[in-house]
Amino acid sequence: MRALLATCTVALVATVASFAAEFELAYIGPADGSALQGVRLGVEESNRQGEFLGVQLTLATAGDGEVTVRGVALFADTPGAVEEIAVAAGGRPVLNLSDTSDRLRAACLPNALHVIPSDAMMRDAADQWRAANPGQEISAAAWHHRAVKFAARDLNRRYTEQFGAPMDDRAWAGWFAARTVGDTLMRDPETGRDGLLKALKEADGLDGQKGDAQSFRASGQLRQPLVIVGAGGELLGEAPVRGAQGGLDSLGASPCE
Amino acid sequence: MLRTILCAATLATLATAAPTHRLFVTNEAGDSVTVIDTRSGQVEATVHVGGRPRGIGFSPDKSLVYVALGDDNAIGVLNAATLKLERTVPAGSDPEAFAVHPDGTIYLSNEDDGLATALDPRTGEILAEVKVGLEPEGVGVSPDGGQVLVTSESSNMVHVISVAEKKLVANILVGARPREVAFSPDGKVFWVTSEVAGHVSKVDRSTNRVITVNNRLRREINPRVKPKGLLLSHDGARLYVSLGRGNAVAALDPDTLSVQATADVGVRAWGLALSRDGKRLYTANGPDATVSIVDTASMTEVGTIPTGAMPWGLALDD
Repeated sequence: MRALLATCTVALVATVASFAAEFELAYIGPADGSALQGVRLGVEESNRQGEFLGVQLTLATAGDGEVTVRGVALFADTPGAVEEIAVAAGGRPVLNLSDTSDRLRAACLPNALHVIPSDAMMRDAADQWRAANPGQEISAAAWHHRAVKFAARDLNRRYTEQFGAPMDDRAWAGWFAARTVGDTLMRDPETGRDGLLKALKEADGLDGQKGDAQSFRASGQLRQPLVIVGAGGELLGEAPVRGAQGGLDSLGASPCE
Repeated sequence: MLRTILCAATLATLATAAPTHRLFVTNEAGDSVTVIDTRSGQVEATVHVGGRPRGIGFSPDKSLVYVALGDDNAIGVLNAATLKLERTVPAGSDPEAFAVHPDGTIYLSNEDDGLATALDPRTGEILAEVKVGLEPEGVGVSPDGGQVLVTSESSNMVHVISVAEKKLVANILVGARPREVAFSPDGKVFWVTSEVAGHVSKVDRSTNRVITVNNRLRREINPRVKPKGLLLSHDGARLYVSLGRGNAVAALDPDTLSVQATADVGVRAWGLALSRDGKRLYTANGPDATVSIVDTASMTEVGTIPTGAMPWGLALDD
């Protein structure tokens, strides 16, 4: 894994065809995971946006054993290895798509952005729901493939049409990571040279097609609503539950501030 | 071309039928339109129109009510006087919202396909399809009829389409999830709501640049605010904004975008309509299945009227 990050190149390449700017992004992880599918959809949708703005994204992928990873931002589907990748990535943002550990959030890594919810967030969401609806057998998740509100219907349709499978939590995280990096680059292509991490950390109106404006905590964790799923896999509702104090910050801790 | 448009607009104005004083409400989950007599405040009829009605608007002479039927891939044509659904016109995939040009053409957003479509509802001819961003929604025709704006909710842009050429001439990034647009009467600026970002922005049309943003609505009104509907008062002194889950409607200064007043209304207020005298503002409150009536002088809700399931859009003929 260490060797894989040996070279870090900012990839603002000269324009070919009509695009004013082109940026390379990189994915590290298994070649057959849903997180990668989500990243691919997110890159494609960002390029739909970029068609109108003269900005295009490309995606490099790397598994274990590859020697270099370029890219202005890294998407990591690498449970247990996010910290190592973040350290090796220097000032580039590393978007964590699948490692849910609370310990990783408490590490306060300056360039790790945790898109997947932490264990503590999912615990708090489930506890809020159980307190409001005693006795139910439920769990919390980042996403539900049958969600329709807040244009979740549209995102689920686009994912399923392309991959023939329901969108799961890691797929959503990959999609969100690629869309968010893309939108930030579109708004200010200069961040592709410098300042992308800062711009991502300062963005406060990110759209995960989950209704609320999303943003990153000081710990790098993405503030986000979660869904509540019943024992049979059915979608029951959302958290924070109505009236929860602290809004999105009622889910999980906020270390590193 | 311009002469034709002006001529058509003039004829349409001359031919406008006597007002019916009806408020038409699309019920997204009811497949129907609720018809309210605004003089009595009573529901006069509920008309079945077809699958997932959302956007609603009048033909230039106001004799017809057009309804976007997303699940039927069509525009429904309702007679404003007889309340009969006269016909449905194929409109491409999943039409969501639209605006009617003074020449009678409907410019609509096809949400699923990421297209804006120009449709002649009289002949059924699709005059043009223009590729825009993901999840296009709000549509507006400029006061001179020369341009059409389309928001793309998931691509965070306002697309500017030339009516003469039927092609894109500009694309403007705005805050996340742009939903509706409204023009100043002189056509020099337009406003746009960004639902997820919580913004209302003002854009200079000569440069297509955002020149003013109010990003304080959640702090100043309540943290649940999600701006959706937009409507400029007839005297141009107020910009009304429906605030979705903020369960309120705000009156903004159209120039500075500062909040002048707010009124609490029903849950998830989206569609807006304003009476001809400017004294009554109506909001469509989805999960409540009501329309709120707001007295604009006091900015107070003075009544509610029941609708079908998940009221979405409003069109008032007074």
